Amino acid sequence: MRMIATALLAGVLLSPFAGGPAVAAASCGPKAQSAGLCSVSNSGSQVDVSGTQHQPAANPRPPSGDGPGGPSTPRDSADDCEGIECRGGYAVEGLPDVTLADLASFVPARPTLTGEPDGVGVVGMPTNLVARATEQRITGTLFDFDVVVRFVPTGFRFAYGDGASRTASTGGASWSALSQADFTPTPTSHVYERRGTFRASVTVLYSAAVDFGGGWRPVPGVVEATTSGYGIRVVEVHTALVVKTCIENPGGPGC
Amino acid sequence: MIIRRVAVVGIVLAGMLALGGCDGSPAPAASTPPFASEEEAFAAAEETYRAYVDALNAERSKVQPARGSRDYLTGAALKEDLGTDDILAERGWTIIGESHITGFTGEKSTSNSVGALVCVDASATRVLDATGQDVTPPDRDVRTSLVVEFVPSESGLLIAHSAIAEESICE
Repeated sequence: MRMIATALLAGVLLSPFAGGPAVAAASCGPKAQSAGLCSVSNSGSQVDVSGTQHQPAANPRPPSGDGPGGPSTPRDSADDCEGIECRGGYAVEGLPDVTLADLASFVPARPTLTGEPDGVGVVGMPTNLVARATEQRITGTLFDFDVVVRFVPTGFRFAYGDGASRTASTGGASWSALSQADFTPTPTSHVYERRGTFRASVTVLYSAAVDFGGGWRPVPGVVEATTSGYGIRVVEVHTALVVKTCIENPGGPGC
Repeated sequence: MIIRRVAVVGIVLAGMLALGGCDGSPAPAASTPPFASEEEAFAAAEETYRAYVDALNAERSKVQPARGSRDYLTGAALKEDLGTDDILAERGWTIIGESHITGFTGEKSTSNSVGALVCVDASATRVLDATGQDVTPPDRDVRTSLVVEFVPSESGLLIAHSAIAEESICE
């Protein structure tokens, strides 16, 4: 097996995108094919990189080294062999017709989601949500070659839990980081219209690219990673002008 | 106008009543085009795919076809096409030249889908960047076997899914 793999690796290195005969289910149409975008597919939540190589049985060329594929036998030259027969009573077993396919999958990390005020919101006032996702480079192997997939966050889709959603180009930042006063609108904030407990979530839209060592190739579409479960208790706040504190006047408004 | 709307409501109600009179089982879908034979289904699928590639080639040569290439797509195939267009736009890439179908083999046909293997030859196409420079990836696969799934619609078969095939039918 090692002999076969060795024979195939060079082809993979030179042509990692070569479809050859066979491969896993990478989405592809005539347009992506023309643009050379076919051997990388995007399932929506991960990037799949597939490769394949074909070693026909005709004119097998056994490698010169000895590997676990079987004992090598002395011979004058590989070109003298025809099929399994060799001159001089020596035999070299021909390699079978082999197609190797390999697939490496890459999943981006989930974003983090926080908010302010922490876990609480006020009806009619902006609640600020902040998501964090960074560029990631994940290394894997395909036919023993390094493949690097890069995920770059390009969009953040917030679902605020009350049916409202918003897509922002950034994950947002805290009011203090934005040098804004508390409860002021931010690019990622949301105003809840009613009381209740809501579970907000954020989906990061990553653009992906893959590198086989010859430069970055874009992966069509976006890859999504979602974090959910940030609970927000939204309360109403009423203000009233009072003359004494609740301790001084427990029957006062709001006490 | 009001009279017509009332008439339409009446027809809908009558239809609902008629359905209500049945035993509750859903009415059979009437939109599936019945193919008399598997050969007929494969022929329709091939005709659809050839028309799709013709439309694609026309658009590449800046000729607007009567039916745009995207009008032949639906579902995952449409999503893939949109994703590819995003990448091309982002890179400022344009594809020129024609893709050719060099093989078409019907695989299976059911009442709601037709599957086929298609060999697409992209060797006559080039990729140009925004400045018109040839940036065709040297290692792209120019003869690709695709497994394509077609689904029926009101306007004939549509391409619903297209992926690299496990088996090659390309010569």
